[in-house]
Amino acid sequence: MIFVHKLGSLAQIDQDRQDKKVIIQFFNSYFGSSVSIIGVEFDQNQKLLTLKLQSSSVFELKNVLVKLTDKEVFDKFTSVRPSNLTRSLDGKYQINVTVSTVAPKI
Amino acid sequence: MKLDINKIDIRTIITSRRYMLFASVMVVIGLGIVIFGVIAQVGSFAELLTANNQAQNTSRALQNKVKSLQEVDYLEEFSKSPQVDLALPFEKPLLQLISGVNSVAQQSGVSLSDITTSPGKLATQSAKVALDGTTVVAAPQRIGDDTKISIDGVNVLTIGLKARGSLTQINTFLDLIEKITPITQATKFKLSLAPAVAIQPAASGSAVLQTTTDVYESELELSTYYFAQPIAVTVDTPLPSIGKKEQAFLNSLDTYQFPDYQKQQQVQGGGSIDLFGTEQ
Repeated sequence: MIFVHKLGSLAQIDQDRQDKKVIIQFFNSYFGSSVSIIGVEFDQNQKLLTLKLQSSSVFELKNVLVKLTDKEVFDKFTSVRPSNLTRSLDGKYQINVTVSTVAPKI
Repeated sequence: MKLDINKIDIRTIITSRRYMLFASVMVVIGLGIVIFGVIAQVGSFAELLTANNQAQNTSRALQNKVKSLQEVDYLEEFSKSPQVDLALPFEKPLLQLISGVNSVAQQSGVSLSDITTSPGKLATQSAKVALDGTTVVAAPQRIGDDTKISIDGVNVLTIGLKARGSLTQINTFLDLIEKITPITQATKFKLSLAPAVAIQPAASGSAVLQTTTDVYESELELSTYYFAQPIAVTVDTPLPSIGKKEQAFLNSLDTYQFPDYQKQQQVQGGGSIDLFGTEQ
């Protein structure tokens, strides 16, 4: 009984990791080479993955915002929310994108 | 013809129709026996029948469970029980995690620093009240404070650390960290160029700061998991079956690394035989 419960929990954790990895890989290639992912935060309770994106051009980040409203993104994820556009001391621009990892259709 | 009830002679009826009267009385008594004796028993008989059916079902379920339990030892899946216990141990796996992280750091070539955790944090709020007598105020979650986290039916232990190396090395570290036991994943990751390092050239005696363009530093939070939760089931509950997802994980378990960690079974060192001085 405990063995099967443990196995179920392990499989669920593994599934969460796979979903997380798939989303990171998707957005890494989706935004192109001029936008880098410099931070990742995974909320295990809410199943939310926050990606911190950085670019040296604010226009690239504007392009990110436009791309996030594409049908392709809406079709794949149940929730995608950009937030916290900031400019760092070294002149680079950063934005957070929070994605729900629940059943990504990739 | 109208029957006058006042002219009916009871005595004549008793004399001339006494057998019919006796038969009528017997019929009434018989009906009484049926109503009060038999029908009253029908209800309890039905209850007994239901209870018997339930007992038979329970007995059948128990027999099936005993049979399943006898077959468990021969199941291929159950032969991997030791590996599953290492992947999701029953106790807080701090030492196993540090051992695994150290092994992965050596394989990937990153250097680790600033490892933070607080596994010794008081387990309960009442314990804290008993200790210092203060009122406990709910505090925000901190690294290593795993007393309240329970996800997917397991408890979580989180440690923080910094990994320093090239992008490839950090990437390898992140890949390998998800292949160790106890099962672990990076839940927070922040990448930045490594800060300048003070080096001392051989020619001059003064140290100079040298910035590195290909060395990165990543701040990480690693979460590992352990199983410390009660499972409430009835005796006749059938054994749960292993689904496709679980089966796939079992198959992938062979690719995991199992750090060579020996569990400590007894207190070592000290040398004091009479620790509390009770034998003096």
